[in-house]
Amino acid sequence: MSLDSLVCTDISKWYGEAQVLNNVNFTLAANEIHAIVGENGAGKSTLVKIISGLVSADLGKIQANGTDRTHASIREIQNSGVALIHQEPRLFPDLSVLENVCVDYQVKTTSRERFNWKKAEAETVALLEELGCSFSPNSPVRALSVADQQMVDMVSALRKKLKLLIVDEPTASLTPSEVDRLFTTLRKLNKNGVPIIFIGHRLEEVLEISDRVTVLKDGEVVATKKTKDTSEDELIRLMVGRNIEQRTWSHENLKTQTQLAVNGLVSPGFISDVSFEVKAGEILGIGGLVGAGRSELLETIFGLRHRSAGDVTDSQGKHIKTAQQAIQAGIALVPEDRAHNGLALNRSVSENLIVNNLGLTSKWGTRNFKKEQLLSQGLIEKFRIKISQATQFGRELSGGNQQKVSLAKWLNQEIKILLIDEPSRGVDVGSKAEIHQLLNESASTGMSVVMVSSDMRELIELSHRVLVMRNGRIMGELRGKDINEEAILRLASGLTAGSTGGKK
Amino acid sequence: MKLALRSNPNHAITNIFKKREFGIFIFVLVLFLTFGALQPRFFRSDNLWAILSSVGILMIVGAGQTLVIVTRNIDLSVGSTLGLSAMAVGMIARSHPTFPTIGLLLISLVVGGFCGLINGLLVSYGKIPSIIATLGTLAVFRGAIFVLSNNVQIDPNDVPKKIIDLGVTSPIWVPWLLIFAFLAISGVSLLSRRTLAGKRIYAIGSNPEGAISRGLAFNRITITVFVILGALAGLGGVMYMARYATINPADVGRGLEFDVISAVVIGGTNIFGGSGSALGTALGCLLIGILSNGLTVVGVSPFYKTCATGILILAAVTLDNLVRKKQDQNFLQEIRKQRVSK
Repeated sequence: MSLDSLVCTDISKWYGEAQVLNNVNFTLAANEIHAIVGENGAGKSTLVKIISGLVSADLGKIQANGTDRTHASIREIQNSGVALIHQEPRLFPDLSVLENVCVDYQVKTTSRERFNWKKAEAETVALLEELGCSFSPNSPVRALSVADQQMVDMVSALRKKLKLLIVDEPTASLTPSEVDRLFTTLRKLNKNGVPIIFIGHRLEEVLEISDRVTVLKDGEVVATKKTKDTSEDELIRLMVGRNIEQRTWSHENLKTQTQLAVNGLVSPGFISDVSFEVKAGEILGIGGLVGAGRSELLETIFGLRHRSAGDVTDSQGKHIKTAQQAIQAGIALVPEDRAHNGLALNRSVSENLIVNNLGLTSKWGTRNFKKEQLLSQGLIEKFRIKISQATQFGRELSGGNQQKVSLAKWLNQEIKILLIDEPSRGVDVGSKAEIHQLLNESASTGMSVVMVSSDMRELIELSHRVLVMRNGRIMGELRGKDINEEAILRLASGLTAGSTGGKK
Repeated sequence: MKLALRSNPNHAITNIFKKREFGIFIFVLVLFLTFGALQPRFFRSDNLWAILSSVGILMIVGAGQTLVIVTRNIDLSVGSTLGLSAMAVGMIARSHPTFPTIGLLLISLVVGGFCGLINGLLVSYGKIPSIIATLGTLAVFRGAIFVLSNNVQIDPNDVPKKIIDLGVTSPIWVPWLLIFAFLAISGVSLLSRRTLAGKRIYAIGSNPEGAISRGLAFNRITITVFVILGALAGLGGVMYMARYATINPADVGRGLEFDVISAVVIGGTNIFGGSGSALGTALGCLLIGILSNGLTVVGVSPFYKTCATGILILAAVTLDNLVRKKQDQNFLQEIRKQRVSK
């Protein structure tokens, strides 16, 4: 009656030109809880999205219960009893808890059976109590906290006739007692014959709940281990995997002048009490897991996000509250999502390069095309942007070249502080090296760089200091020789002694 | 820990003050009493019937438009759909005066439903934003009226008396027009409050990506709401014929979309989808009717009427935003209290 097993064979997936999964083989036995671990960007979430039908694999086969599922639609997969509980709850904010839970309930078209709200409410209340939720099934979901919303998502999965449950980092926003109750429910469910795929970042939880663990790294399966035969240390070693290279850049010319001071910054729900300073010529790395509040920190500093407390000052002690003030103070932000925030995709490369520099190339509000052409040509050469012509549209460029454009448009100006989010995501190896070189050169001329990165190697090689964030807080600072993957990962998953597992 | 098992607010009017429609209801009441105080003639029963009759068509079409707006769509072509149905039915009635009324009503539903189907297909499978798609069909359907009628209008003496009677009489003391309006509003209300299908309509407007990932039939639901609205607009066509007896190809239903969308928005339906109710829309229709009638009765120049409707929309939406914010705060506080007491 339940899936005997799920067999994924040679799954490969590309997003644009970046390959996120490479020949992944994954087998789920009936009645097991199978954990998937790996660093950010290792491909965990992509793999389970493929299994649940949200995205389709470019290559490879998926068999469930012996039948081929490779080309099944989301609806077919969802209605066959597969539920994916994602980091972000898939809920309908305008509906009540009860309505959210029932909305995809299947009433057989053959039977004349009417949907019974009273019965559904009683069942939902029972499940909510089992998970220890204290809200009424009639509360509007809009008014619930993220943790409560996740519970609602869980309940709506549990109400279905489940054949496979996938939970993607369910514990990130839960308190320890909530995690306990969740685990009890998962175990009970598993005992009743539902296989579970569990993605988690807190390794001690992974070890507690799972029967087997698969380690993914850079889109490939490194190992699949029986949980009782492995340990936290071994998993971290497998996740990190590579030899840690020596840092290639020298950091001797570090100046002492403070360029940017962040004091007690709070952005409700994202950032709590973050303080740090950046010196001139310094590259400050910010590490942490997805959802730790790193991008939000950059956006809060740049004045894009509401802050309820705290202060950002530049070298002259000027307060920076809005994006306009930030730009005037010589701060630039290169966002993670180039396609939406960094680049005008339907505009030419030269226009993208000019847009921040219009002051230089225009007079009395009128554009001077000759000057624009000279300037953009200069930038294209200086930053080695590979294009056929300057009138090419932004969307036609590769990820690497897009990133160079979004950097180049800022770096023509007198930028003192560069805030950069995931500088090499979706960027090919060649461009990545060039971008790293650019960042280093810029730093050596006195520019400060605050770099958020999920790429461990990038963080370690480029940064003078690394701050590691978790749940919107800075968990620790690593300097010089102390910067290594293991230390970062430990801080990021809250493993270091003295830190607590939960938010509260 | 025991959860308080409240009776479901979807099933009973647990607390009228917590209802979304409360703000607009107060608005209607105040306006109603004000006009009455200024001019007692306003309260006379023939005037009250006139107000109700004047918004009957608006309610029929508004009930459907509520569902469409709840799904994050909009239908601008309702006036042309209503006109096309009125013209088709009118021409049949002119050439076959003995054609049964029930048959004419069914034809109007089919014609309107077909127009709605075209809109729904363009929006769902055609992936055209509804505001553009229905802007196009607004012109196409209007053009079809001219082609169909050869630009010849239906005159009052072409309309059988039994059709005219729909607007004034029925076996019970309420005219058919208002019975249909009541059925449309309560039908949509029932659909959205009591049925899973109705909840799915709200779900796809509340979180489209979530709806797809939960495996809801996104396109089918979208098409369905457009067909429901089209059919109701078609029914509105017969009601138009009953009320006005003249069907001019250029005038029939022209500008109806403005009044309908106004009524829906005044009634508290979120223009960005996800929330709203047919009851609110009915109140919105009443508000428009009372305002229009009241301004005339107390002797305000008709030139001010359009302006007043516009101001009313703005006031209603502002009020609605405040009410919604307040309700959210109340819910949050309630949940926090539960936490503390735990």
